[in-house]
Amino acid sequence: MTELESKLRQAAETIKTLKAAIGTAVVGQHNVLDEVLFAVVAGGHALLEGAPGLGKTLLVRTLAATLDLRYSRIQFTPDLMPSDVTGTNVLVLDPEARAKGSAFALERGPIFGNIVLADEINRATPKTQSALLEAMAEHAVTIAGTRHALPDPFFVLATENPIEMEGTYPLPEAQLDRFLFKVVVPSPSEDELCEVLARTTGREVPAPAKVLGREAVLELRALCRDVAVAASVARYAARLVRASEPTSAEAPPVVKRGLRFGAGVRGAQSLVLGAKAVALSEGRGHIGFADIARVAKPALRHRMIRSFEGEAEGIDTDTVVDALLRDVPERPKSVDAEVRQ
Amino acid sequence: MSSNSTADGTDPFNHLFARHAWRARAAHVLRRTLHGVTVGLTLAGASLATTSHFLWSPRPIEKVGFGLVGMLLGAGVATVIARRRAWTDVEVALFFDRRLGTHEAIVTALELPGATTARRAGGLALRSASSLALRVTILERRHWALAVGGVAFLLATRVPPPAVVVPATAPGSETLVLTNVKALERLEHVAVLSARDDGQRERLLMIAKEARKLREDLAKGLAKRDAQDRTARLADAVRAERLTLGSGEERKGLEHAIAALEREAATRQVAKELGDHDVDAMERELERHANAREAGDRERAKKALEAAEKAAQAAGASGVASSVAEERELLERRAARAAALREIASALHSKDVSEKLAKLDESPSDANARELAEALAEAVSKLSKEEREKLAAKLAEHHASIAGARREGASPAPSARAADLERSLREMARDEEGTKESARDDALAGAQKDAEEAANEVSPNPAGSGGSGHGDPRTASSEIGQGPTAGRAGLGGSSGQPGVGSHHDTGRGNHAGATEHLASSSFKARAQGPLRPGPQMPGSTTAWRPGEAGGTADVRGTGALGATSSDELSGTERSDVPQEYRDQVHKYFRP
Repeated sequence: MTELESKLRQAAETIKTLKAAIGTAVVGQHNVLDEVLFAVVAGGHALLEGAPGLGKTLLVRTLAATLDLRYSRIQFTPDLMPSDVTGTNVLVLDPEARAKGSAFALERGPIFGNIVLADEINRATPKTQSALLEAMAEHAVTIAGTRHALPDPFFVLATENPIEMEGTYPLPEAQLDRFLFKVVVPSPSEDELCEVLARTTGREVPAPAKVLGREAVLELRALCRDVAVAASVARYAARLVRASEPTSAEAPPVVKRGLRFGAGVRGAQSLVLGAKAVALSEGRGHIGFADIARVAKPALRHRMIRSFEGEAEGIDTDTVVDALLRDVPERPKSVDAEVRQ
Repeated sequence: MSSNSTADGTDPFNHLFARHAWRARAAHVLRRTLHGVTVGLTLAGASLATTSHFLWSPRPIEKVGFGLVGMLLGAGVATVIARRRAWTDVEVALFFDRRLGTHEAIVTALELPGATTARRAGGLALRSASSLALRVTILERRHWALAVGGVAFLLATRVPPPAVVVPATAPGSETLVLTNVKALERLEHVAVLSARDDGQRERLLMIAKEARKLREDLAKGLAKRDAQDRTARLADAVRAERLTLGSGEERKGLEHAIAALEREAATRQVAKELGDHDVDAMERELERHANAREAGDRERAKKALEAAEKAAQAAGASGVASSVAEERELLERRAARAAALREIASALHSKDVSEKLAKLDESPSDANARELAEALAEAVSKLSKEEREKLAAKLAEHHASIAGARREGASPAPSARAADLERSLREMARDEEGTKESARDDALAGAQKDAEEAANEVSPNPAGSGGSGHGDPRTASSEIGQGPTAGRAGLGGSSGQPGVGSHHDTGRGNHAGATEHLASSSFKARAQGPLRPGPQMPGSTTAWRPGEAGGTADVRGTGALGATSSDELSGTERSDVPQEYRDQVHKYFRP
């Protein structure tokens, strides 16, 4: 076994342990958990969308608890100001301190954390939401003209509620595009609900253990970047994204009918990065078509903008992704035909 | 040593991949080749069906050829296409990845040689993969068509081509256009023949008129069956005209005359030939009596002829009486000529003359008499003047002794004058005497041949059939041949011998006996000649087929009577049967 293979195997084990640790607090939601972990391993941000009470915040909080990282939470409200997120300069009252430096000192906001939970992100005004834009894209914030780098690693895990539209501000497309994944949190099954009841209505709530430190997370992220991608597989990701463009010749009918804009370059990047995380979680040093397909929905669903006709007909983006996966061939036709024999 | 190499320095992945890829590509080419063979066989079947329907009926070996050529062409084309569209390494790798479920490790290893984990995973998968897992399907469901098509082709070679039904056209309905029919033109000359009576003159004029009308109609165009009918009627009319002596009201007189002749032994043969209306034969018999040295039979014949003449006259058969009288007078003229020649010959001593005289005595005929006259003329021409005078005197003396034996109207006797003797003999050598009746009969015989020639021109006999089969009508019973395809016997001679093409058997061999017994089921056709492309010739046989009612060797029966062979068409018109029979047939089929 080579060193790389050893690292890959160890990484897979780590992710498995991490998932098990989170599972002590979060019941079910395996797909959600996987996708969030894929986003963390790939070094991207994730937007969790689901009805209230499905455990979104719990999930993020548990994740933060399993990682030995600085965790901060921002509860987004309509009166939340950008400085409440990024921080601001405050007057220094201590004379000694003032004598040593400036009369103002930087009061860092909650954005300065390794894992930032942006809870109910769509309740803040666009101005405040845009405060996250620079931080998510560049891992840095500018406060009073001074640029401050954010700690590494830096993950934004945002949640939003799709039901309560009153007093909400939908995220702009540019900001949505910054999220690696948009994870849809489904309702728990009956068994999962029973398990939740059993765990949460008792006296003791199990506390997850710390599994990974900062260095380990960084190494995991670096290893994820080293996963090999064959040209044929990368081309498949590119074909999927190209086919999501309504003006493309390869676009399926549902795309042409239901979309106004397709997933862009960041969509393709998300596909490959997500697939790499999937492969890493399985201890593989390369990705396959199935890995691409596995992350297609979380990576693409929030990047495609529906047309009026699509909205009117109720075509959701998951349906479009299903159509893309069905209609865009993974392999050349001759190989596919032979495979079907 | 790098991690992607084996102990001997070769890359295990590359080696494994190359080996499996070669197999996959070969199987792929083979499968496409089978596709091509299938398509080729299908197209060959379609071509065969098209050919059978529109062009010709292929023989079994041609059917096999169609199939083989189709398959070979299909295989060739498919192989070329398969090689041009052969899988690339990446396509092969993608196929293996899919089959082995390696999450595209093989294609990653192929495209990214530095991806060591993928190379190891791919190599491991390839090494542990079974042949079955990596096989490319060669036989597909559609290839069943190949087996089915092959069997169908083999069965097709066993199926005989359909028998060709030659549609029978209405017999003789085609239009015939003939210009310048010489036989009919000659036939028109019967109008100027000397007729025995007014009735015959009128009939001859009608024949000539019909011949001219038919010639004009043929030049314009006439239905073949009408042309055949009219030419046959003409021939029958002429033939009937030769039989008019003693017919009708003169029949009784003819029978009386025959009876009178039969009473005398010397003229019994003459009586028979008169009864047969064979004037030529009758004259030949009387010619023998006239030229014979012995006068007994001649005198008896003369008296019998006189008796016959009187009997015919008494029965009101003036035509028969006139003919018999004419024969009697000719007998007398010939007898006088023969007597004169013998007289001169006895007075001359010449070897040639003696030989000719002996020949005449041996075979008393006009021809020998003319030869004797010629020899005498030659001998006289060599005599001196004195010898001629002496011969003339001798002849005069002899003439005086036999005076009274001559009668008025007798043949010219040798002149008593020596100067005229040679000329008289030369005239006798050229003189071919005959009766008006025989001259008329000769002319009618020629006219009959002309009519038959016209009939043949209108309806040529097919190759292999007998010739025109009419001999003398009075001996026709022995001369009508039966050609191999219902043809007619050749022209019979005046002596009544069978014509060319006749099956009249003149042999004396033993016809008893038989060939060896052979079982018909053991017969096999061995003909392997190539068939001409294109429609079959009517009557050609190209297939084995069980016989059926109404069928012939080459024409499939289509009904209770079956189809009619082309040779059988208008057979009645061309058959030598009396006109009454032909009319009966016409009435039966065309009431």
